[in-house]
Amino acid sequence: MMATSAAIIREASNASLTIPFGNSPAWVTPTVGRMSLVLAEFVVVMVLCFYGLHPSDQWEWEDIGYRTGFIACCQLPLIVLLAGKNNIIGFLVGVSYEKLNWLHRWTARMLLLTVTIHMGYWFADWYRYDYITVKLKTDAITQRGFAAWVILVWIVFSSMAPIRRWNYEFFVVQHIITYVGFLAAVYLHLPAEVKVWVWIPIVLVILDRTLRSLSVVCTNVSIFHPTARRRSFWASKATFEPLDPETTRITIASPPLRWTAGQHVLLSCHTIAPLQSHPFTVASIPSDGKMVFLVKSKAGGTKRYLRYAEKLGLPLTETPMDHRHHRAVTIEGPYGRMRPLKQFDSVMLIAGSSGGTFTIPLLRDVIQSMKSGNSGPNPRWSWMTNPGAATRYIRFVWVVKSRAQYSWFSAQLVEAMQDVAQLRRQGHDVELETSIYVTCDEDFIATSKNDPPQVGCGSRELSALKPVVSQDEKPIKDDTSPSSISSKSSIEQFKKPSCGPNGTCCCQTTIEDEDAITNATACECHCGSDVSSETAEKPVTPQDSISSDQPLTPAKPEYTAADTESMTMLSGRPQPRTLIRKMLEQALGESAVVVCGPKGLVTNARQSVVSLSDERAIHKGTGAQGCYLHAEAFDY
Amino acid sequence: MLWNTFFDRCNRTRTILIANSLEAGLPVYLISNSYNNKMDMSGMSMGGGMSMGSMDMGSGVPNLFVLQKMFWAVVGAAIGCATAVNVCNKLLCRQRLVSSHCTGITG
Repeated sequence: MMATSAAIIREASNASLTIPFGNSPAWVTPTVGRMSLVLAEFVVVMVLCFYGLHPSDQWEWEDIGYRTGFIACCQLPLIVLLAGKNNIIGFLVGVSYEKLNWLHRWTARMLLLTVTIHMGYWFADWYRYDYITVKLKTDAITQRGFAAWVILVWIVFSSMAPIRRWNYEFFVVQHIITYVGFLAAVYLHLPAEVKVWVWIPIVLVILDRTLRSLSVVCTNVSIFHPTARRRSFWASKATFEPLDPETTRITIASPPLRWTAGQHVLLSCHTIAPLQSHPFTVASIPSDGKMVFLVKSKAGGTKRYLRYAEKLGLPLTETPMDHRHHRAVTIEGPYGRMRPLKQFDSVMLIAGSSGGTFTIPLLRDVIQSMKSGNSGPNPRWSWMTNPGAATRYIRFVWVVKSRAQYSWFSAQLVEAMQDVAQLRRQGHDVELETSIYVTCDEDFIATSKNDPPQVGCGSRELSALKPVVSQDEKPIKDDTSPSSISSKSSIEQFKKPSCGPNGTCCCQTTIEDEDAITNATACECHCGSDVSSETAEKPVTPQDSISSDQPLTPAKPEYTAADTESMTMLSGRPQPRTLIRKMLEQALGESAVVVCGPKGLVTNARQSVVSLSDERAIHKGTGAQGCYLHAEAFDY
Repeated sequence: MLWNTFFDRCNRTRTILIANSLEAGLPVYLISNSYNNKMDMSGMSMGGGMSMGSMDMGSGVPNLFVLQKMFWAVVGAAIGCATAVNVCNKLLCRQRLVSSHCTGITG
């Protein structure tokens, strides 16, 4: 019964509607789970504000004014509790702070609604005597309250996505300053009996900041790491290497903290990018003995890192760097939390573009757990440690912009496949399937709207023969073979740039079934007057992939083609629904789907999980096992 | 009930009169009758079935401080439920890993 309830709640919570807008991209509503939580808070606040009162009775407007004021001020601690990085609520419920940030925003909007009602009823009460301006001009309490309301309006307005994303650093600084002003105005507005509701958030903020400062000091100062060999006062030293024209690899050789796969830290290097701190996912696992970050260059600090790395011109190597090339960095964390994947029977990892920095460590961590559990029972294991892994099947899908991006982690993927092959040779029932999709579809690889447009060909008209597509699919003409395409088709005329980086062929065809692809052309694209075709290749050995790119890391010796035969490289975009269905059909226990990428990919995967959960009637008598979803979207 | 109605009307009249006192520079909340009634009523008996410490309108409505606690009771209950789910998840993870290790199915 608990499993059935969990399945129903998961389906309901993750469901969302897609509302088409003609030629514009469709709008996806927030999930039902989020909307329900906000609605529940709204109902609770409104009931508490109006229970036993009669809004239509003018003689009760003052009572409503007082009531709403009391309910408003008691919401203040909740807003701060949901904001902190050392998040008490997050710790209790097992969710990281960045996953609660949306609730922090909505709680603040609820506060704004409550204080607006509070102000409204007082104004309505005074308006009868033409007294509003008199109060505003003469009464200090009213003035402070009105000032607090104005500041709160600005805080809520400036926290809206377009403004927040326009310049995030500016947003954070002004947000903190205005919040201090807001608290001060509220403190002066409130009567003595309820000032405690202002003191509580102040204490929480101080506590959060103190803990964070202590954590930063303990993590980064050498004297707190006596067991490690430290040459200098500062424990965190990093090297910066350019991985490709858009990406910097930052490596901390002796990491001063422990982390688990999938977590992120706040990293800052004030000598390169002063007064900036950015969250970066740790792209390595603890057993590597080093922290590696792959940082995509955009504007601001990340661009400065790349410029510095290019100026330094260090070669990409696995050997430790000369200490002269090390820069002091400050790391804070680690943050980020999810259910351990090694407990799930089947795991699907879907990454879009730089989302690979999240899924690759998770993949390697599960395989590492499989290997460690293989070493036999350890009597020292206690209830605090979790031995081995229960995972039997891993499906890894990575959608990249180009093969060069795949080379970021090619060696790690090869190693992962070798490890699984080794486990299979030892008689363990484990399987790893890997697919790399190369596409320029923005929904699957875009990291931000500010990404530079594709260079190469201009747009041109194409007639498309197509298949089942998702709502924003713009397929490319395929005259030769529809073997990879389903029987449903529609012909569309459209204009769209479809060239990959540097004018290479770019395929946006959705590949419904990898197993159905032979050597037939999956898609065709045009670059100016040249017509080129991209073949869905299968399988390709990692040797080919690595040798076709500049070798960035030392190649792993001694592997056979058989070890890596389960890797597929395809041109086109995946169909998450098909991939997830195949995984669920073979699952013997609960499965996990982890997706990290742009919103289009995350939404697609989420909707696929919900619809498959409903279609397969998970835990509702069909025998279909549960499916846990963890989604990380590129957002801030 | 008649007494309550009379008292209510007096409160309203006082509110209007208080407005005039603003010219004297007195803070409203210190002299507002509605607010003071809420603060003072807890020890007073108004008769006519009005409960102690309640709003001056309606009976059985909790006072303002109790309503604030009610808000946190609801929030606390929601956090408590989510915490219980989190604890169950951790126990389930532990059970699955120990079970798979003991039976040697994988890893």
